[in-house]
Amino acid sequence: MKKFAIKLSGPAGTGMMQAGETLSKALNRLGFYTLMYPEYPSRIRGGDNHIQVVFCSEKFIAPFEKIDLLLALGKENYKAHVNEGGEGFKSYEGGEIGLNKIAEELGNPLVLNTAGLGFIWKVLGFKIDVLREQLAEDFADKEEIKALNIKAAEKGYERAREIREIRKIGEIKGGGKKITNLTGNEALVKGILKAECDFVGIYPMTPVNEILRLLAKTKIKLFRPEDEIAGINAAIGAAFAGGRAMVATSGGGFALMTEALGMAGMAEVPAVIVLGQRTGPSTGMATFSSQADLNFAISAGQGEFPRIILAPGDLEEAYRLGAEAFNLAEQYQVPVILLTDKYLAESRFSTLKENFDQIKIIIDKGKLFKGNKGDKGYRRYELTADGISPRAFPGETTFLTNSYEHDESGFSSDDAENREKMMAKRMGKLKNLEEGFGGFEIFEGKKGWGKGTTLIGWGSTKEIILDTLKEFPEFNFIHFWRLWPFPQKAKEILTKAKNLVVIEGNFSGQLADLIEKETGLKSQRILKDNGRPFFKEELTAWMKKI
Amino acid sequence: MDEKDLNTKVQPTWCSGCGAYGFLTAMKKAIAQSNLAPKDVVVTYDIGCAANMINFFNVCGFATLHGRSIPVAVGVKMTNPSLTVIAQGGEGGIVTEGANHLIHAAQRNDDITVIINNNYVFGLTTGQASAATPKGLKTSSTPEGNPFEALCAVDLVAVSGGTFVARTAASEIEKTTEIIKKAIAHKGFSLVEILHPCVIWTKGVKIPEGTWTEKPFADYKEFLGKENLFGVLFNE
Repeated sequence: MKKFAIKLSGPAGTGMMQAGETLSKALNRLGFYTLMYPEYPSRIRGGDNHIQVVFCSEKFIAPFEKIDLLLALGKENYKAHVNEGGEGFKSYEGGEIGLNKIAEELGNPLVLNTAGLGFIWKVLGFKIDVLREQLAEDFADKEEIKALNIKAAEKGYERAREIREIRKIGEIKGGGKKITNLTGNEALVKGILKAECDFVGIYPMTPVNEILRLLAKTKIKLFRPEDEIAGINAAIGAAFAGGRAMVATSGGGFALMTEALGMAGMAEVPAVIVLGQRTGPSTGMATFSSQADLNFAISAGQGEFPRIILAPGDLEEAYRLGAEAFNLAEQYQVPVILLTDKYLAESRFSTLKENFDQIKIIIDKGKLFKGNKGDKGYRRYELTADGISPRAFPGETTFLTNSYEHDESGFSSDDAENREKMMAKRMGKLKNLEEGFGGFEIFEGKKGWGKGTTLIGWGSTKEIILDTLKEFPEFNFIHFWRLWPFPQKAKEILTKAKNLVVIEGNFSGQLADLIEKETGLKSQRILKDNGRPFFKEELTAWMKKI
Repeated sequence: MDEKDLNTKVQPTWCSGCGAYGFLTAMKKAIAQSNLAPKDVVVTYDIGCAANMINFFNVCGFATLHGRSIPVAVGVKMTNPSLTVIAQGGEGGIVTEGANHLIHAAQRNDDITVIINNNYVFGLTTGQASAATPKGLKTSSTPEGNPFEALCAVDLVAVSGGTFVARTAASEIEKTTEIIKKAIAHKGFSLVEILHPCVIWTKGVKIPEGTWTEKPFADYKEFLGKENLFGVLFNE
């Protein structure tokens, strides 16, 4: 089936996000894969929040420039999007199709969005039962509101029947597929919980606020700090005391965390940092997406210290890497940065439930102190073959942790010989990471690797590129989910590939630069830096030019 | 336990006559007399002269960053509340660079003890004025005299919500020991400001001829702005 793209638009406060979520999940119940991509300005009420919901019977969905159906609540919102239609486009304004009247009848302006959903549902030719079931789930804990919303949906549905606006999309035959629907942030939070994280320090910032909201409902110790500096320093304190600790922020907050990032590196304290990229520099476009913090994540901090940078590209990766980040941080005693972005964090994606459920996570806290041996006692920074010294926690034994250069016992030291040993210890710690822990995924084109064009992407572009590739089956594609240390195996693979084309959401081509630095290989760059994700139409146009 | 168990192999590197020696002695006495095992005591250190104590004091020490000993301590205590957690630093770190953390930890009444070694100056960086340098004092950064009133940690913590506030002088080892013991035992946020002018950069500064309070004040408004009051000023 061809995709179908719906846009819902309304002022902030009219429940566009909720409507998009309900619509997506109801479509999932019918066996469709969905993508919900929200755009909203930085304001609480008014303006234009618009949600794109794309559905398709096949997996991997990119956002689109051209839409098939628009429902706008308000004339201004209608005007803003009425020119975005593709072939066969239908557009509706809430007042004109009688939604306001329905809301009036029900005595609650807040059900406008649900009445609109009922209307759309009928236009699409679906049975009301499925939408009703979804609304019952969405409002399961609020009996009165549930009944009101179901009523609104039914009335909207009837309204579309009355004006005979019906467009049969056709239901998927065979159905039965169980589809999981989550935002990138929600999948990440599932990973964080699976990893049994103990401590979270989050100062609010788009696009990671959902993480704070979701974790606040759990038993995890949550610290809403006075600033991001306190957040990461407290997380480091928590990890030093034996907890699994994390922070989440965006570029501005990460800039404040930079000094403590180096402390985690120097003092060898595990730290997990979710860096949700948004459009910079400075305050930039606060609610829009970006992939421009890769260089920053790689190089943040004075001096040199090891770090790991992961960039999930879909729900499965967000979940798996969200959990694995804690294992890696503890196994290697380094900061681990999870690079997401507004597009991945706040959009809703879908995948087969069984694919998601089969991801296995085993908690591994790395080398730990097993009691004092002999007279020497425990040395926190003992030199070992792999550079990793067992960790002890306060309450177990007495030891020193130090942001100054230090000797094996943790005492501050400016000694030249000691410095060389300690730098070699720290900088060599990640050498075992290459064994067994991957960093990229290869999608081989029809002609095989080494033949024709090879697309390269990282993080949130994964599904967008895979959707676009449906029409270019001869292209190869390599998706990076680990950027640092740059996967050694990728070097060989890239060397065998031809016509490299890097696709990324920044101005200069930061991954392309990194690949060139690591391999000497030059690549063509397809770049976008206007806050929006790549849309399928524009990426397709690029593909044709290659 | 014995105070000697709190020694390390490293000799203090402080200048001769520095108040930090008295402070270290008082800290050892306080921990020993409180009967705390070194493995159960965490001190998060700032960066600066007094914070070099990480090398001279045998507990679970963590040398953090300039201004950041408080948030690290908060994370430690939240994760393992059974530990005794002390954040230490000079007035440069805690009242200047990291004053934000001092205010907010007091506001939250975090169950940690903050100890400020106030020598009225940035010592290690060769004597520049800090936020707690007395008005009029000539320093390397204020050759014409410091134009600002000193920011007072005791007052700042009291108005922010801290529930234990004390001021002492490093030379008064016994009194300081008793105060630190009480601060550690206090449930909630406790602040101990320890005055010891720098023997190099602020040796001209005299600790005010103070009055030692018999018992804490019932209302913090009674000691605000009175820098000549010593002892436990507030214990809610």
